Amino acid sequence: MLDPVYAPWLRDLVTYVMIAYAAALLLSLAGRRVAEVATVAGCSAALAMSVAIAYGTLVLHGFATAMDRLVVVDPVGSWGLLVVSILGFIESIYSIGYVRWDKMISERFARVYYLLFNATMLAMAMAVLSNNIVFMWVAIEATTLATAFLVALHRTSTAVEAGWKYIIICGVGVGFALFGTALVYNAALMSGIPASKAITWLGLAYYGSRVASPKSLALLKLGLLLITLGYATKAGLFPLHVWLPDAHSEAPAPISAILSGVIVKCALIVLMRWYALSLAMGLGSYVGLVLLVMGLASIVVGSLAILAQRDIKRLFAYSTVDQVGMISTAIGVGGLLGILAAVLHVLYHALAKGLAFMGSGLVMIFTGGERDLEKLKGLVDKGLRISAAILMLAVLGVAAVPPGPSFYSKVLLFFASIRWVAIVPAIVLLGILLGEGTLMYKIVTLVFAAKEGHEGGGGERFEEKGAISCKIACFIMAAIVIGLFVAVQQYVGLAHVPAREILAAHRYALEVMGLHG
Amino acid sequence: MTGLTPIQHSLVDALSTLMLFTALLIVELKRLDSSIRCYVAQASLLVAIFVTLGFRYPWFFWWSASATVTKVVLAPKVMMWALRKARYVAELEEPLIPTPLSIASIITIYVVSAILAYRISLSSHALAMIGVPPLATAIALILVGLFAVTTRRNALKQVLGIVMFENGSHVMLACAAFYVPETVEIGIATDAIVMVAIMSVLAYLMARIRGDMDVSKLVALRY
Repeated sequence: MLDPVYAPWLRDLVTYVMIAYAAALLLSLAGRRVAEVATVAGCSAALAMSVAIAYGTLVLHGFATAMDRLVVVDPVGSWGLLVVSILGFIESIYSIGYVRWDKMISERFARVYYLLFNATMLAMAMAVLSNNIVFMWVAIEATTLATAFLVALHRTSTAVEAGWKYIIICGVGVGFALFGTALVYNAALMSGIPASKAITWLGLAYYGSRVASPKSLALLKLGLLLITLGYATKAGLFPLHVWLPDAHSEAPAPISAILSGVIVKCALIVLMRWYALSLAMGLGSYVGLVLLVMGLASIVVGSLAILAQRDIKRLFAYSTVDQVGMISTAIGVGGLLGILAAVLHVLYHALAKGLAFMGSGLVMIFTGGERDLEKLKGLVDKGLRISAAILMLAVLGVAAVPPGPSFYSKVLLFFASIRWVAIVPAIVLLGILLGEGTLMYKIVTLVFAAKEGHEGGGGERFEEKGAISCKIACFIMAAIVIGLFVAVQQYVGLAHVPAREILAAHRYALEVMGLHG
Repeated sequence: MTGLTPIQHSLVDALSTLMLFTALLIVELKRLDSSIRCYVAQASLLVAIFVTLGFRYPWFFWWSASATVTKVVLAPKVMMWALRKARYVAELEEPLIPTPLSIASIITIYVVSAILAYRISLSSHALAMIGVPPLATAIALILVGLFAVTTRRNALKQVLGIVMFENGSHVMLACAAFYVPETVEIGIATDAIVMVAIMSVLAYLMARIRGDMDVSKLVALRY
């Protein structure tokens, strides 16, 4: 098994991660220059510590709780923290160039931008690491609030519309999760579990099947259903995905990358934690079925909607609906293969899709804000070679291109789904062939197609000048995407650790409580 | 089991029933500033419930403090600010269903919630720790909040719906004498007020860009 060892240094490190984000948040008030430096510094420090935490938990099997047990440092949490801190570090660099380019973001609003950016980081780090089930909800709700105004930052009619839909849908949806959390807590109390244990994730996992006593079963099931539906809203699963394409297309590019890369993934990590609890309680197939149905529906809707997209950011947004559907399906079908597929894809999709939104941001910077796929056709001919390369690489990362991690997770998902009725693997294949195939086709035409009727180089040409920090950020991200593509074996090996923790949360909690009391 | 004295019991019952009257007024009043004043009344009743419970479960004094700051003082201030800035007085946008039907629906919601709460109290003592009426109020407020969000087209009315929804969840947590650490309680309260603030700013922006707060006109982004 995982054989966790108590490692107090992890407790200190995780506190410093929070302090780094919080310090950057406070310094952002001092003005644009200070905010830029503080955000990059805070995010780099947090990244360095997150890598150490990931090494501590995934390789050395360390474990700790911090902040009066509000926070737990375990493999699942540190995997989530890696997603948060890698994307956070790269977007903090990218933001410098993007926010300076974006004329709709005035000096005053640049400060608001960095303030909310760091608040989002802090909230996301807390969401993936939280041990207290109500604190988990508070953190997820805080990620909505911190990004809602960022989505509407341009204050145009469409931006306000996107922000409004985002906050109303996610506000109500996630509100149901709080309701469900209260029900689960009550069900645990009814089963005679002490209050201090019933409110923590580890405590509930520790008592496992004892939580589901005959007296409390109905309440518990209702609670778990509301929790799953609530967090699924935030994860962008059908039919609660309607906020996602609007928010992604209206937000500034680095925020789109954060939304698609991390915010949605935080909700998925929290869903994984609840799935782990329901497995421990003996209700895994119940929660799994809900996730499976929503996931399959999202794959269908996402891959069909990709066909109709003309806007580059909406194209990637619907691809996110498709991919998130695959992750949810993977959790739903369960087993080591399914969970491993989900864990693998949570991190790698975050990186690749982040890169995709950064690439579309580059295109917008160099073409003066153009997002229409038709008008952008033939990027190479137009002289946008760097952006074209970034977009191509991003799409190769998102799609199941062998032998990358994306390919690996989708093959695992497919084989995990075969033991279900035939419609499940069929829809998974549809998502891969239709959804990813269309995405590839659209981006390849975008990059290589020659503009019809353009005579002797008469087409519009652009120069890729300036926006140095955006390019640097893209190159770092591209290096990570390629690096994991090459080192896929090691990557899969690491992902086993969180996957095993999810599958055996009860055993993990038993071992950990033995260490820790 | 509950440990509340009879006086505390009847006080909590009376206060939570009064909350239902304010909810009806919040949804049905046409003048938005009157709606917001009714919301202040509702939030004050919530604080009063927390104070009453505080004599038995001391951590509710924390809840009453944070609810006073965020729900009674700050949230109405922010909404009034948006109203003034947008130069709005009344809800100009027709609700999606006519007033008599709307009132009938709300009363139906109340009856259904009461029945539901009674049924729950028979099977689960943990949820009805402080009695059936507060539980019925909690369910009713959540449903009426959702009702307001789905049937009203005015953005500020929808904000009021969301805050009622939140009040309902809060009463629900109180119903189970839910204990959460103070830090978490402060987190819940902060989330609630920040949400109201952002939504009010967005409602004001809507009025500034388009001249009204009609949410049903938000149809530029589709598919």
